[in-house]
Amino acid sequence: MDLIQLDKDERAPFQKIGAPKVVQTTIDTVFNWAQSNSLWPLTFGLACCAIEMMATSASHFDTDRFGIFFRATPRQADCMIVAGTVTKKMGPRLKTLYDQMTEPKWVISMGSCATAGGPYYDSYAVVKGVDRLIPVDIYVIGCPPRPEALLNGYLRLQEKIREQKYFATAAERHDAGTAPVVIKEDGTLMSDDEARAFINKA
Amino acid sequence: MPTLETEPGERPGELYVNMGPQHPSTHGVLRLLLRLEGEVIVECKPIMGYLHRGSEKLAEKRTYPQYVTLTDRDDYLCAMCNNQAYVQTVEKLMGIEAPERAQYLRVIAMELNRITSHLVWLGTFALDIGALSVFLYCFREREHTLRMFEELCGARLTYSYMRLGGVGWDIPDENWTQNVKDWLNGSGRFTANSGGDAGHGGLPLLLEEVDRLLTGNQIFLYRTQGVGYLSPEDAVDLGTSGPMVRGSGIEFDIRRADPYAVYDRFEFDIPTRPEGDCFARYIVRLQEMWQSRRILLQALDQIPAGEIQTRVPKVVKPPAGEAISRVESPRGILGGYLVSDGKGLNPYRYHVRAPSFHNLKAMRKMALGWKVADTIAILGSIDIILGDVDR
Amino acid sequence: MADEVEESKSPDTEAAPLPTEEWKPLFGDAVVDEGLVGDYPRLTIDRERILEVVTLAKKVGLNFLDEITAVDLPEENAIRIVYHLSCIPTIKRNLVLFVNVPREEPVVASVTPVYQAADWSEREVYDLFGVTFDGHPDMRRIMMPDDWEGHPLRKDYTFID
Repeated sequence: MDLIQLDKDERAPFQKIGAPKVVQTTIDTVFNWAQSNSLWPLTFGLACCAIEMMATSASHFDTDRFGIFFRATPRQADCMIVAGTVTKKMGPRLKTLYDQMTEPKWVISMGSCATAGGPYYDSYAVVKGVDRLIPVDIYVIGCPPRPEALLNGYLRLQEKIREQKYFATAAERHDAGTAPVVIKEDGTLMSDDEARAFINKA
Repeated sequence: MPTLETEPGERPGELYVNMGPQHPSTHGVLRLLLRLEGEVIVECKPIMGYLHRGSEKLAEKRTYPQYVTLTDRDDYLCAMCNNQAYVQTVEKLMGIEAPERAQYLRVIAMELNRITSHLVWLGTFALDIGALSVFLYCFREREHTLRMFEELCGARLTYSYMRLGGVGWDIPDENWTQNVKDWLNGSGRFTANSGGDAGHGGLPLLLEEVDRLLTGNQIFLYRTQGVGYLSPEDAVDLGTSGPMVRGSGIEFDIRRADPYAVYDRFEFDIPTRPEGDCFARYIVRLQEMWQSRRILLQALDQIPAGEIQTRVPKVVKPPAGEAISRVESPRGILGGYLVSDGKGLNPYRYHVRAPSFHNLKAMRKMALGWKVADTIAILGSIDIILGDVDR
Repeated sequence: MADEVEESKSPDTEAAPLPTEEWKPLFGDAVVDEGLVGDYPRLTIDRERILEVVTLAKKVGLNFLDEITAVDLPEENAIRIVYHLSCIPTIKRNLVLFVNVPREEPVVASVTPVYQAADWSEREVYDLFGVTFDGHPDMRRIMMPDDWEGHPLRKDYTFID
C-alpha cells in the first residue's frame, strides 16, 4: 500500500498519482480546494456594477467554468458580491442578508461605490463603503470594474480561501489581520502595503 | 408594515408577501409589497428608494462639466441618453449648439446604446420568464457593441461621452465605422459561421434567432399575451411613456414629435401595437431595435467631417434662468430641468425627469388580479432601471 | 383624441404662437407672473388656485403630466413647485406652472384628482423638500427611509455621515 504525503500548498494533490490506495493530506487542503472551486455567490447586484457582474457571468467571460453559480437565496450562497452603491436605506437589509448567509462566507466588494462610496462620496444617502457594515475580503475597484478585473477578484478569492484555516469562522478570519486584497481597474493586484493604505484612506 | 415576515391581512386567506429588495427578478433593489389572496394579487405597492443616491443634490456640488459623469449613473443602461438630456438642457440655457459632426456622433452613440439597452432588457426579460439561452445570446452580441463603445470612448457602461457643446472623442478610424456596419449587417467578421468568437451573424441574425425562439413559443405566449393590460388612457394619465404607450396603441416618440440632435434627417418608423399587454411591449422593443439599426446605418453613411466640439468658455456659467429639455431614452421621456442662478459654477438645481419612475406607477394598475408569477413578467415588460427610479 | 377639444382656444402648435398669450386669457386672475422656461410658456399661479388651473388645463388638451418637481429658493423664502404639463402625442404643446409656497407653511393642494401621474411626484417633493400636498391619498416618504429626519434637497440641509 503506497502512502503519499501531501503538503498543504500542493495545488493539484491528485495529479502525481501512481496507484495510491490512501492519500494523506490535511482537511484544510481538501475542503478549501472544494470550496474555492464552487463559490456560489448571492445575487446582490445593486446598481451599474450589477450589469458588469451579469456580463461577467454571461458569454465571453463565463464564470460558470470556475464553478461560480449565482444563487438567489442567502441560505444557499457562500459568497456575497456587493455590486453597486449601498444606500442608507439598503444598509440594514444588506446586514440582514449577510447574517442570513451560513458560514463559511466571504464578501467581494465590487466597484468604487461599494468600496468607498464611489462618485457619491459626498452624498447624504450613501454608505461610504460596504466595509462599514460587513467585513470584506476582496475589493475590486473600478467604475464599473472590467469583467477581467472581477474575474481576477474571483481568482484571488479562491486563492485566499485555499490559504485559510477551514474551521475558522468569518469573524475569526478577519480578526487575524491579514492584508486586504485589492484589485485595480486594469485587473492587476495591489501590493499589501498599497492595499492597506488604500483601504484605510477610503 | 412587516418587512421580512408575512402576516395575515384583513380577510382570511390573505398574505402580505415581500418581493425584494433583494430578488433575482426585480431588476435591482425594488421592493414590491404584495397582498395576496392565495396566488392572486389583491394589492401591489412598489416601494423604492433603496438606490436613492442623492444625485440631484450632488448636482449642486459639482460644476456643470463635472456633472456629466454623474448623469451616466442614473439610468446606467442608456448612459448616452442621460448625457444627452443633461448637455442638451445646459446648451439650451446657454444658447450654444454642438457642431454637425458632433450631433451625428451623438445620434450614433444614442442609437447604439438603445440597442444595447434593449438587448439587456430582452435577455433579462426572457431570463425571468425562464428562457436562459436568450440571455446568453443577447449578452454575446452585446459584448461586441461594448467593445465598439470602448474603442470610441474608453468605457463599457458609464461613458461620460458627451460634453457641453459636443462630444468627447471622435471616431478612432474607418475600421470602427466598418466594424459597426458589419455588426449591423451581419457581414465581415460577423458573418454567420465564419468562425472565431464573432461569427454569429451580428444583430440581424440575433434578432431573427430571438424571434424564432420566443415570439412563436407557446410558453412565452401564455405568459405574456393578455398579461398586464394597460389601456391607452391610463398609460397617458399615469405619466408613462416610451414602449409603455407605444405598446398600448399610441404612436408617440419624441424623436419624431419634437426632434433633437439631427433626428429629423433620418427615416425610421415608430413601432406601435394596440394590445397593451406584455407581449405588445416585447414586440415594440424588438421592432425598435430594427429601427435603431436603420437610423444607425443612415447616420454612419451621412456623417459629415468637421469639429466635434464648439468653443465653450473654460469656466461654464450659464445665464440665470431655467430650461427643460427631453430626449427619448429606451424607457421613455427622459427630461432634464435645470435652474441656474447665473452666478455659480454649479447648477442651482438639476432635476431628472426619470422615465422608469413614472413607468413604474403603472405597475399597480397592471398587476392587480394577476398571479405572483405574472408580476415578474409585468415588471420585466415595464423595463425599469432602479438607478433611474431612485436617482 | 384630446386635440379636437376647443380648437378655437388652442391654435395649432406648429405655427409656434406667442406662448404665454395663449394661456393667460384662459386662467384669468389666477396668473401672478409669466415667463419662459427655455422656450416653453411659464405661468406663476396663485397657490390657492392651482387645482382649478390644472383642471382647466387638462380640459383644454394637456393630458400628460410630465413632472412635478420643486426648487428651494431661500432668498425669496419660498419653495417653488414646478408643474410641467404636456400633451401626448403633440408633445410640442407645453405649459410650465410655478407655484411659490412660503417656507414656513409649505402646503399646497394636490392635483392627484386631475392627473393620476401626480401621485409619486408629489410624494417625492414631500420627501425631499417637505412640501405637504393637501388631499394626497398617501402622503409619505418615497425615497428616504420612513424614519428619516429632514428634507434633503433643501438648501439648508445638513447631515452627519
